[in-house]
Formats: sequence, C-alpha cells, structure tokens
Amino acid sequence: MKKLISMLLVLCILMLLFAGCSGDSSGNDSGSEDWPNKPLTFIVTHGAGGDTDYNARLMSRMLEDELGVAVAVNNVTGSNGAIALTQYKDENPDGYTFVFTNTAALTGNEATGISDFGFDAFEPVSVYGRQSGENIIVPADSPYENLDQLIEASKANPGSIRFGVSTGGGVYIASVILEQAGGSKFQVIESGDAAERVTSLLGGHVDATIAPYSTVKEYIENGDVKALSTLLEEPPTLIPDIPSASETLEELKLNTYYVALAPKGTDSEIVEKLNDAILKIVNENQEYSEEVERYNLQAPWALSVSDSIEELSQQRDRFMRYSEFLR
Amino acid sequence: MILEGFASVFLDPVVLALIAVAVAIGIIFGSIPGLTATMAIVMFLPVTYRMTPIQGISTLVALYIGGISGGLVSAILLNIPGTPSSVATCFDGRPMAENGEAGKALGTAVVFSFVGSLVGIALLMFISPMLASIAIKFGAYEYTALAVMALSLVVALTGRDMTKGFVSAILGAMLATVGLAPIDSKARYTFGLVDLTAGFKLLVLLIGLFAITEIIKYAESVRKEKKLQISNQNTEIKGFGFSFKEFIGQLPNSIRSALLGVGIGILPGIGGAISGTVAYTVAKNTSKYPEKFGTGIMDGVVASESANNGTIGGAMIPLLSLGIPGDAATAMLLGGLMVHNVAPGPLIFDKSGSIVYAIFFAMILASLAMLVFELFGMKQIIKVLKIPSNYLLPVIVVLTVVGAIGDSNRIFDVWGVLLFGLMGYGMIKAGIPTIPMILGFILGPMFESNVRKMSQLMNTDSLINHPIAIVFYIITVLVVILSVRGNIKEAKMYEKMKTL
Amino acid sequence: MIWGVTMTYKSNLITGMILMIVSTAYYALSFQIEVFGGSGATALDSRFMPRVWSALLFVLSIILIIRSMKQRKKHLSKEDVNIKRKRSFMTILKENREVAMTFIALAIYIVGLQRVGFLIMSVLYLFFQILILTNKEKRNLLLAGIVSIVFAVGINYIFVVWLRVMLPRGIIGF
Repeated sequence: MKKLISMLLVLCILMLLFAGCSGDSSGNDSGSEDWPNKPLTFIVTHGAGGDTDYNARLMSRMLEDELGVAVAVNNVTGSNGAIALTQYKDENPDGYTFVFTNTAALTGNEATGISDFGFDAFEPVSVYGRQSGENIIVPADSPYENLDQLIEASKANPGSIRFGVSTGGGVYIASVILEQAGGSKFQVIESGDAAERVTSLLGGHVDATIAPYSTVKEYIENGDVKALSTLLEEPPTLIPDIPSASETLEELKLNTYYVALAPKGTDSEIVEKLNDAILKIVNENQEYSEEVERYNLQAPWALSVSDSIEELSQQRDRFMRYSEFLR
Repeated sequence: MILEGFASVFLDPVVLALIAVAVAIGIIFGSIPGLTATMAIVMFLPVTYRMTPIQGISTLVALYIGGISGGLVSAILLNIPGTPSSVATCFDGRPMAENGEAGKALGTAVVFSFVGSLVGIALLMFISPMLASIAIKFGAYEYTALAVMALSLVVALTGRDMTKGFVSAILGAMLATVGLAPIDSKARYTFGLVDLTAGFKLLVLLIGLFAITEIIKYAESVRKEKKLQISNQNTEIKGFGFSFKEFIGQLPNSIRSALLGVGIGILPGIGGAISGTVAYTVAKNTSKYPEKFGTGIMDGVVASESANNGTIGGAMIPLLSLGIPGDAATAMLLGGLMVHNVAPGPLIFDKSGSIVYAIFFAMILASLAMLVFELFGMKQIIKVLKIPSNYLLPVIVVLTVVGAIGDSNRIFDVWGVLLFGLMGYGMIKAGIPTIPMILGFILGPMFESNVRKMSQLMNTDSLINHPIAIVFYIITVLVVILSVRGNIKEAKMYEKMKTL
Repeated sequence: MIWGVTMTYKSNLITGMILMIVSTAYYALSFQIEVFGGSGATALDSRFMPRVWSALLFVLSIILIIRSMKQRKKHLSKEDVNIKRKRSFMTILKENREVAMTFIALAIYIVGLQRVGFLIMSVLYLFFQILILTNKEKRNLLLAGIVSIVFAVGINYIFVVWLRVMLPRGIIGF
C-alpha cells in the first residue's frame, strides 16, 4: 500500500518536472521551407453531404495529389459553423490545420451575433468557389410565379406565409433583407439546414424557403418544387432560366462563397503556398473543373489571398448594415 | 437494374472481400466501448475514395452494419455498451451473463440482430418511398409529441422509484443544454470556455457513465468479498445458445421491436439508443411476465438488438430518398455517397438505380457476414469473461480514451469522461438510475428545439391539424397511467415482502 | 437492474439537498443567457427550457427531502436502533481507497496525456491501475508491467500508426 502511494507520488513529481521544462508540445518542427511534410487536416464547418462539405472534400482530394501529402477531412458541425470557427480560429497555427467554410457562415454569424468575430480572426487562404446560388423556392403547385408575387401576397396577409430559414445563416439574413428592404411580412420559421428546409417545404410545414440550387435541382427536375429566383448577383452561367432576386429587390444579393481559412498566426508563406496550390487546381485541373461544373453549375473560380480578403471585406460590410435587425 | 445491382455485388470478388473485411472491422469497433460505428466509417472513408462507387459504398455500409451490431458484445460481457445503440442490451444481457447464460445471451443477441437487420432492409427495399413520404409529414408538432412520448417511457422503465428516474432524466437534459442553444445559438452554461461551447458529446457521457463506473464498481470490490467477477463461468456454447422453440417464441417480439426500430430510424435525429430502449420498454409492458425483465431473460436482449438493427435499415430510408442522414453514421455515409456521385433524393432510382440496388444487396450480404462472423466468434469472444477484470478493465479504459479523443481531438472530452464517471459513481451511491440520463440527454434537446419551433408556428397552426401528434399524446397518457399503476402495485408488493 | 432500492434516509437527504442547490444554481445562471430578438423570435427563448428543467428538478429535490424526513421518523421510532459508529471522512476514504486511487490515477493519466504523450502515459496508467485493482497478495508486478507495455504499444500502433488517429504526442515525440 505504502509502496503504491509512494510510486504515485514519484510519478506526480516526474510529471511536474515534465510540465516545467516542456514548452509547446504540439511540435512546431516544420518551417515553411519544406511545407507540407506531414498530413494536413481540414476542418469542415458543416455536415457531411452538404455543399460546403462537398466542395471542401473535392478540394482536399485534389490537393492530396497536388501537394503529395495525405489530407484528413473532419466535420465539426453545429450552430451554422460557429462551433468549428470558434474552436479553430486560434488552434494549431502550424500550417497543417485549415478550416473550410462558407461566407454565409463566416460573415453571417458575425452579423447575426452568433460569433463575435469575422473573417479577420483568421488568415484567409482563399475564396475558392462560388455556390450555385441560394434559390427562393416554393412548392410546384403554389400560386406564385415570381418573387414579386410572393412578397405582395405576404403583405396582403401578414404572417400567413410561412418562410423556412436556418436562424443565423445566410438564408436568415436574406429573410431579414426581404422584410426590411422589401417590406415582406412572412412568418419566419426555423427549419434547419438546406436538406431539412427542402423536406420541410415538401412536407407542407413551410410555404417557401431558400436552399442551394445543387440541393434542389433534382426536385425541380422532378416537378416537386419551383425556383422563383436566385440570390446570386448574376444568374449562374449554367442555369440562366432563374432570374436574380436583385432584379426585383436590389438589396437582395447573396453570393455565397466557399472559403479556406488558416488559424490566426499561421505563417504567411504557408498561406501563400496553399493558395497557389488551390489556384493551380482551379485553373488547370481538368477533373476538378468537370466536378465543379457538374455540382455547382459554375465555372471554377478562386481568388488570390489579397483578392479574397477584399471580397470578404465587402461582403461583411454589406451584412453588417442589417446587423441590428438580425440579433 | 435489379440484376445489375445484384451482379455488381455478388459477382465481384473484390466487393465480396471488402464487405467481409469491413463487417469484421465494424464488429471490432462496435464491440470496444468508446469506439463506434461512426468512427469506423470516418476512418475508412478516405480509403474508399479511390474505389469504384459500388466497392466504396458497400464497404461503408458493411462497416455501419458491423459497427452497430458489435455493441452487443461488450454490453453483455462487460455491462458497458459498445455503442450507444446497445444501451438497452445491458439491461438483460449482463444479468444473463451473471446467471451463467452468457452464451445464450450472445447467441440471442446475434441471431436477433440479424432478424432486425433483415426486417429493416426489407422495408428499405420495398416501401421506402412510401415511408419517406410519411416521414416528411413529421414536423415540429409531431416531433414534440414524439419526444414527450419517449420521455414518458422513463416512467415505465424506472419501476419503483419514479422520482429518481425523473431526476436522472432531467439531469441528462440539463447536461445537454450546455453549449449553444438550438435555433438562436446563444451560449448557455459555457462560462466563456471554448470547449464548453461545443457541449458534451453523447459518447463521452456514455463512456463515463458506464465504463468508468464499471471500473469503479470493481475497485470497490477488490478487498471485499463481493462476487462481481464472473470469470469462473461456464464458457461453452452449444450451437446458437438457445433452442428452436425459443427462437419461434421470440419472433413476434423480435419483429415488433424491429419495426419500432425502423420507425425510429426513419425519423432523423433519434437513433439506436432510443429505439433499443423503447423496444425494450414496449416488450416489458406487453409481456406476461414484466417483473422478470431486468433479471436476465431473452426477451429483453431480443427487443433491444432487433430494434437497433432495424434502425439501420430505417436510417437508410431518409438517407437515400431524401438525402437527410438519420444519425452521425449515416451522415458520413451521405458524404461517401456524394463523393461517388450518387445524389440521394427523389431521382435516385432513376439516376443511380443499379447502385441503389447494389447497396441493398450489399446490406443483405453484410448482415449475413455479421451473423456468420459473430456466431463463430462467439465461442472465442466469450472467453473474455475468463480474463481477470483487474487486467481487462484498465485496458478497456485506455481504449475508451482513444475513442473519446480520437474523434474530436480534444482533451476536454477525456476530462468529460472522468467527470461523468465521478458523477455516475455519485449516482450509484444515491440510488439514481443511469439509463434515464441518456434518454434525457438525447430527448431533451429534441423536445426543446421542436417545442420552440412549434411556438413559431402557433399563429397559423394548431394541434388539431396534426393527428399523428395527437395520437402520440394519447399514447403518452396511456403509458403513464398504466406504468404508474404498475409501479404502485410493484411498490406495494415490495413493501409487503419487506415486512414478512 | 434493481433500481429504486430505498436507500438510507441520510443518503436521500443529502441527495435531495444537492439537487436543490444544483437546480437553484442552474436557474440563476440562466439569466446569463442572451435573449434573441431577431426575426422569428418567440416567447420561448433560450432561457425557457433551462428554467423548466430547473423548476422540475427543484420540485423533485423537495420530494426527496420530504421522503427522507419520513424515513427518518420511521427509523428513529424503531425499537432497536443500531448505534452506528460515527465515521469520519478519512475513514470513509480509507475504506474506499481503491476507488479514490482509481480516480487519482485517471486524473494523472489525463493530465499527462498532452505533456508526456499517449504511449508512455498509457503504459504507466495501465501498470498502476492493474495494481490498484489487484489484491495485495495476488499482485504480480512483472505480469502487470508486461501487460501494460504490450497493450499500450499495441493500441498505439494500431491507432496512431496504422489508422492515423491523432493521439497526443508528448515532448519525447511519440
């Protein structure tokens, strides 16, 4: 008995000694010269199967070949990405962990107050893709033919049209813009993420909602749902039939981008290197462009580090204008 | 299309081999507490990228089936659920092992897992569009009612001491509120700590509450003469461990439980833990000998394992037809599907029909493989009982640490395990049951987010429009009344016995 | 699974009081939760459910306390009341020292995980935990040592090297 206790004591002392002399045990052992020389980890802020996840995984596969190291992709979901973003903005700035998210989460969370930080809490690596566009959708048999009719109907009968959103997300911001700038009077209902919102619509729990085109295109093809307009500033190149919401309501433009971020303090040379790799894939890789066109219905598109920061900054200003209504 | 699907699975030796290996790996992951089916899928997902779609998806599905099933092993042998789905298997599984019937328990669990899987796959194959269209009708009203109904089962489960059962459930619900709130994501009980902002994970709670408490219970018994060790048990198993007559006798129970499992699997966000517990409670309440439940009878194990395997088939239904994953494991499967360009949704049969059928056949094959492996493995695995607990339990703890930290990479989760272990110990000393806490932890948030959505809808909608919800509420009231009556009767009998 | 064993009145009383404190604290802390005022907000904000839970728990704690009072009355009115020795905290601790040491071993294990790394800490933890759980007479240091090293190394190999799970590596590098 006594022997056991004394052994435990010795152990404690050893531990304290270790604690005393060890510094940063996460091993900052690689400079930017030979980056990358060990596997990378991408943290995706949204669930598997969604468009953010899809684009992140696609990019990660391409990067594996391009950079020659394995890339592990982990989903850390919750609160429209806020959980992952909050956790990883300062963690592991060693150039081997990156965060993949979308701007509706990154900037939207800041505007709605879910997070008290925005893109500048990170080192942006690249805005690397445009979403196929959030579309305002209604059931195929509903009486509205365009966005204008929907808004007018809501004004005529305030609160009678149920609008599904994911509170705090880009879709939510869009609904607020509809209300503030467009005068609509919807009954706003929390309806979960993209796939859940579409199901909600189909199940008759809401009368209208917004979802990415890539999620709804099958339902449109199948005749269950019709898209009234897209929130992109310009209709996507490959689906020109859907008008832009901004034609009806100028303020309503929401370009959702996919963003790759590095934790604050990551070596800027590593950031540039990753950006170079991404740009190379986007501009030159055949397989990538085929995939992206098929899924996003957009041509591949990515920005350099400085352009990314510029674009993010502009979006942020636009969102923050509405922030008092969003909280 | 059907033939194509059949051929691509059964006639491709690579696929057959992959399914076999994946099921085996899944079973191993499932049977070790702390490692789950989800983890197995996450780890092997990248490996499947380079395979053909059918190879890759078959592998993932096989991992899923093996993983969920494997939980029964440690539930029966160690009283620690290997995965959350096997929580209810502990109720009768462990007592059976203590009574010297470990072989029977294992055989029962394995065979009826298989039955459950088949029921789930059959429903998936033949009527999933219809079931999916019903699932779509479930909105806030229905989910709220469902949560209430499931929570009412706590009453049914807790027997004599309903007060403590409810305490446990509410504590579980309170633990679940730590983190960001549903809908508006406001921080709750996080004290500014980033780690708490993400909240506690079910797995961490499960490991702490069940695995750590097992080792603590053993530690208590080291010097005392309490016979907690069952390593001197008979470890021979004849055949399946139970008779054909018993098999037939349990079939109604099994099929009913499997159907319940499928039903719960179809509704996203609920999961195998609830389906196992619900099926168990239903079996107990509809049986001729409810007082025997918990002492070690087949029925309990049959109910739990048929249900949690039925949930697998059930969870695949919204996954394939709507693109909505039912739980974390199917969420990863969704990722796997997308990577291979299989887009779930209403057009999946049109666009990827042969792959869908291939998935069905892969699932059948994986279930068969699971049955075979587990039946053969049973005879060896039961020898685990012979390993002295003082060596076995520490190793289990280390494995659970791997499980806790391997997924999220946070030391915080391991501290969580210790914290919940401490709490579990306290609960045992106070006589507070641990199972309702799991129910409260899962159902509390479900209740909250749906009741709040309901409040958003109440302007334009009301309960009258939701017959399904009304039915659930009626069932709840009935369950409560019957259980309370039963509990009072039991308590009176107990009091009488004490004074004899 | 025999729950609801009636327990001594003391344990019910203590449990009841602890739960009362917990539910009150939980309720008090609910005021720190921000209220959401944006679009779609209703009366059921994020403070609502916590308050419901804490109210229910408070009621339950009172039930337990009342129960313990009733038990105490019955207990004290019995003819042959066993006069139990007053057990000090230290005695209780000593009687359950394996439990206490298990918790301590676990805590040390976790603290050491990040500094010293998974492999070494697992060897150490396994070794000590096995010994804690073994009766003094049956203790076999050699066997415990071998088992610890074999399993720690094995688990480390399978998960870190083969499956590439990120387990903490200490300053020594593994």
